[in-house]
Amino acid sequence: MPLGYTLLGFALAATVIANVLFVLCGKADRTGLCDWAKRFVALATASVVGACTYLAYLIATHQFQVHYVAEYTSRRTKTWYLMAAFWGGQEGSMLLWAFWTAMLGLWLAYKGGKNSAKAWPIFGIAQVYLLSIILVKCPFAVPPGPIPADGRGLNPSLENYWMVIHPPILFLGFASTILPSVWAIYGMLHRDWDGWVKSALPCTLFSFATLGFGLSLGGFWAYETLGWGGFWAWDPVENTSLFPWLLLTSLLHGLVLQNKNGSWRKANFFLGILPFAAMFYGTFLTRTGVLSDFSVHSFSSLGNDGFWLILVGVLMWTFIPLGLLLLRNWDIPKRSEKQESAAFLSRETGFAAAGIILGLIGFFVALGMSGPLITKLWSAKGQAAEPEFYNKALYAPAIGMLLLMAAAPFLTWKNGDAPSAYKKLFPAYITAIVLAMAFTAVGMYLGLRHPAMVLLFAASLFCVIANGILIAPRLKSKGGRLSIGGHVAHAGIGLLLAGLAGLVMFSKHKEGILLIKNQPTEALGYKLTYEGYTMDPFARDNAIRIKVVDGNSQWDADPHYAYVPWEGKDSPQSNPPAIHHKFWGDVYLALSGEAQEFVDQQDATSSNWLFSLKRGETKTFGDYTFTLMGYDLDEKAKAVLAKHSEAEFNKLSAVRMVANVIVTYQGKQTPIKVAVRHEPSAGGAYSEVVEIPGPGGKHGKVILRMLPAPTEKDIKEKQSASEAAVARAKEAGAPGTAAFQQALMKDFSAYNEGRRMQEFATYETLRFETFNAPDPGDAVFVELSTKPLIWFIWVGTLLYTLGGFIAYRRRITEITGIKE
Amino acid sequence: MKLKAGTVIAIVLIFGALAYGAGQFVTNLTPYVSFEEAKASKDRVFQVMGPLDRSQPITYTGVLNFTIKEEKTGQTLPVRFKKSKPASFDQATQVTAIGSWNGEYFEARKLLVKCPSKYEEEVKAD
Repeated sequence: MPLGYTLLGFALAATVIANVLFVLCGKADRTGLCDWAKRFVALATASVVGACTYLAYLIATHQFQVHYVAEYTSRRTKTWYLMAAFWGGQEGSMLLWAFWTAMLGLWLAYKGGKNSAKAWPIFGIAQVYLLSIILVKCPFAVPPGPIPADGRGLNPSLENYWMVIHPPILFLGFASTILPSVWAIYGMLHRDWDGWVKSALPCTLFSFATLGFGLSLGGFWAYETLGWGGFWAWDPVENTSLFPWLLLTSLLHGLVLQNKNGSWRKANFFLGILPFAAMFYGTFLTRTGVLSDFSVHSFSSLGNDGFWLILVGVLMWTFIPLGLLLLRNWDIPKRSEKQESAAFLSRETGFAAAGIILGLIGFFVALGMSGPLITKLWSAKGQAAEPEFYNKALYAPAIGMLLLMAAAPFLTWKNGDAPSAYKKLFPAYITAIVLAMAFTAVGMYLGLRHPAMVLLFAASLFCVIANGILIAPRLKSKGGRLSIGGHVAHAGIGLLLAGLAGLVMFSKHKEGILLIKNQPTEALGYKLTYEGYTMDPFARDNAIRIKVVDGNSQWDADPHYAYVPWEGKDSPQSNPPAIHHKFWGDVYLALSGEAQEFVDQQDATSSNWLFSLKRGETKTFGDYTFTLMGYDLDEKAKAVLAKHSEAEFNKLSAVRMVANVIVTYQGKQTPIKVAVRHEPSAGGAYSEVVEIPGPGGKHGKVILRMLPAPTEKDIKEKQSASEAAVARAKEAGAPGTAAFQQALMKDFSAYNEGRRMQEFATYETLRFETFNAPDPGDAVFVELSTKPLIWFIWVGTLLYTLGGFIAYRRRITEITGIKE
Repeated sequence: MKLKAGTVIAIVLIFGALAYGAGQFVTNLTPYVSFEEAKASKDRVFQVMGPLDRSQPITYTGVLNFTIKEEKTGQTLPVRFKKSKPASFDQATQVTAIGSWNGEYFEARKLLVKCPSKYEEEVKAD
C-alpha cells in the first residue's frame, strides 16, 4: 500500500535529516540546529508510529489485497488475535522492532542527557538500516492478481493471549540493546573514555530487565500453551535472545566497575559493542533460513535481499566498532595513578570475575548456537550442537557464578575485609548445606538420578540465602530499598537455578498413555479417566475431559483439543495442555494429538461425501447440488495458462486462486468462494474450509473443503494398505466388536489414509469433501509429567527482572542527580 | 601490584574454561549424514533428513513409526519415535530425525517436522 511505503520512506528521510543536523549542531555547537534535529527525530518516530497504525488498520479492516494481511489473518481471526497477527509474521515483527527503536530514538534525543546530540547520529544509522530492511521486505507489499476472498489466517498455535503480550516486551528488549552499543561507539568516537559509562549503565540495566523479562515470558508461554512439556530447549530462537542478554549482564558488571574506579575501560568498550551486534547476528541466524534444517522454529527466509542486508548488518555492527576500538587502543588511557588498586579479595575482583564468567557463558551459548555454521568449515552439511553441550559446558561456570553471587556482595570495595565477610556469610552457608542435605535425602528416597544437581541446588540455595541476608536490613529505608537491585537479581537467578536442579532431579514423565473412554488407567501413581469432550470439537475452546485421582484429591484436567481451520484442513490443535498447580509443583497433562484418528473412525461410517468437480460440472448428493463455476486466477497464473499447457501450469508453485462454487441446498442457491492455494510441490492444492448451509450433524455444521492431491502410485499403495489393515482387523474379530476395533487401532493410520485417497487434482478438477463435525473419539493418547518446584523458576525470573528495574531506577536517579 | 597474581589466575582459568567449552562442543555435535552412513555405525547419534515416504505405513500407537526417503539415492529408512506424535505430523513433507540406528529402526529422540505450506511454524518434539 502506497501510504505505508510513504510513511516508512518519510521516517527514513526524517532520520537522515536528523542525523545530518545532529552532526552539524555537534560541530558548531548551535543549539538551534539541535532543536531542529530533535524535531526531525520526533517526525521520524511519528512516521513509524503512523506506519504501525496503518498496518493495524489494514489488518483490522481485512484488506486482503495486502499480502501480509492475507497471509496472517482471516475474517475468522478474533480481534485479540488480530493484534497478535501484527507481529505474527516476519515483516510485521521487523516493524515492531522498528517501532521500539523509533521510541527509544525519541527518548535518546530528548532525555538522553547532554551527550545525546553526539550519540544520536550513531543511533540514526541503525534506524536507517532497520527501516531499509523493512522497505525491502515490506508488510505493505501488494502482489498482483485478484484479491483473495479471505486470508489464510493466523497459525492456530499462535492464537493465544501470550502471543499478544509476549512479543512487544521481547522486542522492546531486542530493540533496547542498541543503546549500550551506541554509547560505547560514541565513547570511542568522541574520546569520552568514562563519560559514556554514566549514560550507558541505566540503558544496559533497562535492556537487561526488559530482555530478561521477555525471555521469561517466552519460557512461560511455551510451558503454559505449547504442550511440548518444557519451557526451554536451547533452540536457536531462544538462544538468540539469551546470548545478548548474557553479554548485557557481563557488560553491566564491567560498567559498574568502571564507574566505581575507572578500570576495565577497554574491556567495556569491547563488551559495549557486542549487544547490538549480537542482536543482528541472532536476526541473521533466525530470519535468513541459514539454520532451517536445525531449528524448530526457523522463520521463513527473508529472501536474498534480506539475507545480504542482514549479513552486511552483522558485519557492519561488529567490525566497524571493533576497528574503531583497535584504532583507539593506544589512546585509551590506563586508569589514573591516583586510584589505589584494590585488594585481591575485594568487591572489585568480584565484579571483574562476574564480567568474565558471564562473558564466558555468553560465548558458550554463542558457540553452541553457531554450531551449524562453524562446522560447515569442515563438514559439508553442518552439524548442530546437542542440548547436552549446553548442559555440560555451562554446569561448571554456573556453579562458579552462584558461589560468586553469594560471596562477592559481602566483600567491601578496595580492602575487601574478608574475615568479616566470612562471618556474615556463615549462616547462609550452613543453612544452604542443611537444606541441600535434606534435599539429597529426599532425592535418595525418590531415587537419585542426577547427583551433579545436588551441588547445583546447594550452590543456588547458598546464593538465595546469602543475598536474602543482604536484602532484609535494607528494606527499611528508601535509599536502602533503591540499592538492593543487584541482590534481588542474584537471588532470582539462584532461585531459578535451584528450581532447575529440582526439576531435573525429581520430574517424572510418561508418554503415549492410552486412555479408553471411561476406563480408569494408572500412570505415575495417578488414576486417569477419559470422560469425553467438554463441548463441540469445532468450538475453539473445546477440551478433553480427563478426571485425575491422586490419593484423596481429584481434579479435572482439560487439555485443549479442537478442530481449527488452517491450511485448508480442519487441523486438530492439541494445545494448551492441562496444568494443575500445587504447592510442591505442577501436574502436567498434554494430549499427544492423536485423538482425531479415533474420531475419524466414527467419521468413516457417517454420510459424508468425497467428490470431484470439473469446471462447469454439477453433482448432486442427497439434498445438495454442487456446481463448480470457475476460478479467479492471479496474473502470473493467467499468463502461464495463456502461453503454455495445463501441465506447465501445474508446475507453478503456490498459485493462489479462488474457486467459485454454487451450493444448492433444498432448492436454495448459495454462491460460495473457496480460497485455494495450488501448490504442486507440496502434493496439490489446499483450500480454506468454508461452512455451507445445511442441517449439520450433531454439532450443527456442514463443511466444504478442497483436498490435497496424492499421486496415483500413492493412491494404489495406500488403498491396498488400507484394505490389508481391515483384513487383519477382521482376523481379530468381527467388525463392530471390541477386538476388531483394538486391532484396527493399531493400523489406524494405514486404514484411514487409504480411505481418504483421491485421484490427482488439477486446476480443472477440484476434490471436495463435506463432513459433519465428528463425534467424540473413543480413546486418546496423553502424556503426563510432574514438574516439582517449577514455580521457583517463574519467581526467579520475576526477581531478576525486578532487580534489574530497581538498579535501573537507582542509576537513573544518580544521573539526573548529577545533571541538576 | 597485588592484582598481578589474580590476573595470572584469571587468565589461566579463562583459557581452561575456553578449552573445556570447545571440547564439549566438539564431543556434542550430531553430524548430518546419509542413510547409509547412519546405518553403518550402530548406536552413534546422527542427524538424518528426508521427505516422508507416504507409500509406507505410518502408525501411531503411543509409538510413532514411519519411513523417510533419501532424495538423492532413493533409499528408505524406517524411523521409530517413542514420544508423542508432533502436532502437524500428518501434513509433514520433510522430516529431520536426530537419533541412532539400532539395527532395525532409526531410533529418533528428536524430530523436526516441516509442513508443505513453507510457513514459519515448524513443530517440535523431543
